[in-house]
Amino acid sequence: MSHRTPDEETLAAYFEGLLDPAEEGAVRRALAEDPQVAELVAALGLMIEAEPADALGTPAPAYVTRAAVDLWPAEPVAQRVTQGLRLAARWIGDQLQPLADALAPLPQPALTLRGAAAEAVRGELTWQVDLGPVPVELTVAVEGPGQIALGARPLARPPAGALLRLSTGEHLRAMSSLGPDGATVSALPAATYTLALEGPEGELGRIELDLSEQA
Amino acid sequence: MRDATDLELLQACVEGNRRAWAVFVERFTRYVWYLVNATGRRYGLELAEDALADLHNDVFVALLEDDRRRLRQYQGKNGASVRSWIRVITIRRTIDTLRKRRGGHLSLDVEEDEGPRAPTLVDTAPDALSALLDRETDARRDGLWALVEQLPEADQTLLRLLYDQRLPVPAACAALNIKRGALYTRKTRLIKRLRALAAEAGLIEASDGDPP
Repeated sequence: MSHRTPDEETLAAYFEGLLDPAEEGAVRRALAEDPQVAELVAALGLMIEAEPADALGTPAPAYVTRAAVDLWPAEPVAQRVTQGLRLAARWIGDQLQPLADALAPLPQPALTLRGAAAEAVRGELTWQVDLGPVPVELTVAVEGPGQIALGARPLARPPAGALLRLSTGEHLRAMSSLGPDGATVSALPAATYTLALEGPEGELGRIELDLSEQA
Repeated sequence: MRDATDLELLQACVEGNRRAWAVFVERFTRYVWYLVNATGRRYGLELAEDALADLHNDVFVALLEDDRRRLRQYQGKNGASVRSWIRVITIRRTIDTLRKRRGGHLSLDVEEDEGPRAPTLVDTAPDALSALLDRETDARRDGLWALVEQLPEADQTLLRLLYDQRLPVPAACAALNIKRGALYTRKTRLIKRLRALAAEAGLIEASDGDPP
């Protein structure tokens, strides 16, 4: 056999009449030479002919769609956020260090981070994470040496009475209700934090945020 | 994100945006569900909900496997839409899966009207070609196919689909993306031409309808 099996994009274009004559000829050669290609293309053509213009029948059950959404590869959330924040902290360290030095002439700024600014882009200061059932957009900014502002904005309606709890170890640093507009905590020193979302029935989810100093 | 075009969503997925994936799935889930169902029916199968669910999610697995290889491969070349690309992936994947599950036994459920398995190949005149194709010795059949190779490539494809691969006429029309009337017209013309070539080559006797 001399043909190459057409890829899916080529076959899509074939039925939309978008191939140039050479490409169409290649598809037809594959049809002529390979029964499996012929059968696939025939099935495609028959189904396209029969496809309704609008109504596609019953939708997939919600649990099926949910399962497909959940196919996205899971990453350890704490690890992902930690890596992201470390990158941001390095970016902040490079970009804002002069400003930070000017704001508060501490002998040694808490954030003395260098190195990744050339690769970082501003968008890396924002992350989307899941706090239990609620997707949340986190933002981080430096207010001064060793002082970080952390914002959390829900991307879906949080449960009524939802509370955000930010702690370091056993020490509660801040607590705020989580409304649709989110919440911001300012003047945080560099440290490792736990951000937890709590509902009336108890904790819904948590992540670890590493805002500690980086070498 | 919900306002993004199909292509923008796909690109965001390639870049690792989990939210884009959720929107992408929600946008295409109904279509994929329809397609796997329709593919099963096309092969004469009434699939239960759990089988449909497996096939549906298998399509999305196909998009994500090998570090989102398929999503990365989509280039929008030739202007084919993401939706039609999803359609090809869904149908191909569903056929492959169904075939594996059924031990390779899967055949298109197509009503054959005057298909190639019918005893006559040609609409008029004694069907010497059909006899050659169906019953004659390998040597003579090879001789006939050698004549087919003298025809333009598009005509060869049509004859291969009908008489070599034995696709039913509706399936051949669908594969060639042509109307049934056009196929019959071409087929009649080709058979006439081929009969003349076969007569010249001494494979069959010339009939009254053949050119001298």
